[in-house]
Amino acid sequence: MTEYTFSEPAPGQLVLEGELTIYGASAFKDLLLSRLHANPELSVSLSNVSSLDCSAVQVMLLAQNEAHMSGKSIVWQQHSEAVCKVLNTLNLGGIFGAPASLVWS
Amino acid sequence: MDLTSALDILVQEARELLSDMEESLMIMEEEGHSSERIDAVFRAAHTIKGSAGLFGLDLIVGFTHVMESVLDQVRSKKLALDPELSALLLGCRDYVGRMIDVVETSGKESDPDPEERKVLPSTSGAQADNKEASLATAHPADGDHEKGVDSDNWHLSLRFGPDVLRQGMDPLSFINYLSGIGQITYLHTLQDRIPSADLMDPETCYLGFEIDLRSDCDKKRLEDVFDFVKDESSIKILPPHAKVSEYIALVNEAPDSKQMLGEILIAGGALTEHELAQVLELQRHIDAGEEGRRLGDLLIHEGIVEAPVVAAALVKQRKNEERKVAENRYVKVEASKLDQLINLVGELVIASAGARILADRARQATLSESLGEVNQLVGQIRDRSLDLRMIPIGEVFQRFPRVVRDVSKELGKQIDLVITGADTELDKSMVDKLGEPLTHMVRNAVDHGIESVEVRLASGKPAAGKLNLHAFHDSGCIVIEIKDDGKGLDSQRIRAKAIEKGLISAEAVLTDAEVQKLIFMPGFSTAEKVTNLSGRGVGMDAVKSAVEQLRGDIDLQSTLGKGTTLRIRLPLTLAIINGFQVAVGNAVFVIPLDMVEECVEFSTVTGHDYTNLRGQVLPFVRIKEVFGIESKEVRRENIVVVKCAGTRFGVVVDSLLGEAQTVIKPLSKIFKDVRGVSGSTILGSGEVALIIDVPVLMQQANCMAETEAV
Repeated sequence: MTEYTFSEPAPGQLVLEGELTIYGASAFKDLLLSRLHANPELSVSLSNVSSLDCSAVQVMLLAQNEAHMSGKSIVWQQHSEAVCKVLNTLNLGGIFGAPASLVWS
Repeated sequence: MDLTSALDILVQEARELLSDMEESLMIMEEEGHSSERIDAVFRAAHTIKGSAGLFGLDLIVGFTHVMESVLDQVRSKKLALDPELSALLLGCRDYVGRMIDVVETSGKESDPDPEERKVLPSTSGAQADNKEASLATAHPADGDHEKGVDSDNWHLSLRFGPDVLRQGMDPLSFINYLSGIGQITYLHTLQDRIPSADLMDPETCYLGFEIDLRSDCDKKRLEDVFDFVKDESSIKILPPHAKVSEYIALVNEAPDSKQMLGEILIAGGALTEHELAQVLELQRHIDAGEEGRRLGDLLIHEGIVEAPVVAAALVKQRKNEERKVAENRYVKVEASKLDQLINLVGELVIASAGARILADRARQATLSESLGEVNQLVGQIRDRSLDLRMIPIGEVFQRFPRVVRDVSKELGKQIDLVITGADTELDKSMVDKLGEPLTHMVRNAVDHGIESVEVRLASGKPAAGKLNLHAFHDSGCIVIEIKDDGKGLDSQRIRAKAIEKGLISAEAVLTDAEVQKLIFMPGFSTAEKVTNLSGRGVGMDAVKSAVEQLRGDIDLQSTLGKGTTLRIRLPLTLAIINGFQVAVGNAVFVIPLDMVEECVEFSTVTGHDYTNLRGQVLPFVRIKEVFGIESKEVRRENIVVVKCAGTRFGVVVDSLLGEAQTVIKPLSKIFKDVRGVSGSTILGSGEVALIIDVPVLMQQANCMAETEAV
């Protein structure tokens, strides 16, 4: 199954690539939470994410909540077009800092 | 929107509803009870009540409320719709109309006629009284339950089951699908079911959505969307304008925090603040009363309440669909804006004609060509914009069943009214001005034309008189016929009356047709007794002048004992016509193109005013003579053959200039006595041309042969 891959150019930086779907959801959850625990601040680049489903969105929401509760910060960056579309469709663009698009007005 | 314009809308809407109501009541009088019609009447009363309520017009609300309760009883078959009740309801309808009139003129409401008002509702209420009083006091909240919320969007409350993701279904694809069949106006993702990190299974779905969707789909279609997940998920779909009680149920049954859900509903526009307050209030009410055994109660409550709520929702939904369709088909535009548009189009037509003349003079082929295209487009714009103003004449006709019914009841006559050609279209401004003269003519026909039952039977006619209203298009005109099979005009009596009134001299020699036309003279009325309805001196002369103001003419055919036919002929529009330009000497005239049949070279039997057109005699007039124009002898004159009211005749002119769109500028009052000219226009070159009034010219040509029966 197609999954996502990631790289870490520096501590506290994640660059995601590929499809964030239910097939990789478990690993995605572990990845996000472990990096969040290891760093006071996590930045996640979404520039090469080609698709996103609800399971991934859930995991992102979870990580966001965890960060919030433990007083850390998680910054989502360089949202790809596919990511923007999904997040804005779900009206979650604001939470994840996705640039607003005109999905609905 | 300021309050006055909102009130205008209320008035306009109420008028439309009242006319629907009238139509339905009349049809039921004819064809008997029909639940669909009763619903229509009920809905009209209900809607008027609702909008009057918005403006605090309590008198109207009170009045329509009583009507509504009576209608409701008819609806549930507790009351029979007998002729008496039907007449009463018509009376009530009229009374509401009068109250609306007062609102329109004064912006406030007052009782136009308290005496009559006392009679109306008390009679109608007498049958429904008690029940209604108890209803009103016992369940003050009932009204709130009944009322739908303002939002015209669907509201979908989705809580996906935990396994949908594992089964390969992504809630996102459902949402994308929804945005394909409608427009998602608001969406809120509920994430509060996501547990803490160690408990969370990323393959379980925790998400829920509250969605407001604008869509024309029916409920079935929306439900089908969720067919695959409906068993394990909680899918709630509320139709547009769902009842407050349905939202209460939604809030109640949702596992989420009620206040939060409420806020989502407000954010998406599904509920207004006020409506939410109602929901929460009522819901607290229920909570307080049913504490301890709430769960069971709620279930029972649900079980009992379900059926009617669902049924009601379906009705509501269907209604909304109907309205949606109507809304999609029509855009309401202020008449004055259309007038402005048409004025501008008129100027555009003149300007483009001017440009074309210049291009022709400059002899630039390419320029002429492109201007030709422009002209064609301008022509289309002109036609389309004139079409915008066209409305079916049925709008005027629809009041006549009522007029005839009332008048014939009062006079004890039996009359069958047959309306044909109600969808014939003409300019709105004309429709507005036609109402009064037509009403007058119809009343005249019922009052003076059609005899009483005894007289009819005695003269071997069927007991019920026949009144025919017919409209049709005829060579650029609309013709309206009012035909009765009554006693016809008595030429002898008309003649005697005219002599008595000094309208003609006793020796005058007149044909029957000429005598009959005397009824159009000012101050003429043959009615021996002045009835309530007509014969008060505002006679046919008023009708005639009204028709003439619309550049139309009126014609009459009557046979004693057989009946009378009045025929009104009107131009379709007052603004722009297709004209045929002709020149006589230095002057340019315009003949309405619709009346032009053909053009032939002039030839005549010397000394006569007629020519031979393919074996038929064609009378003609010389424009030169009619208007006293001096011009040099032209080498070759032309005859324009025009047709009007079924008669053909020729107009002799010096030369033919061709077709041109003509914007009619009315002649100023100084020229009102000029015969043969109906208006003027400005040519592209800036010159003024006169528009020939063909019917008048025809009269002058003295070729008023009996018009062919149409």
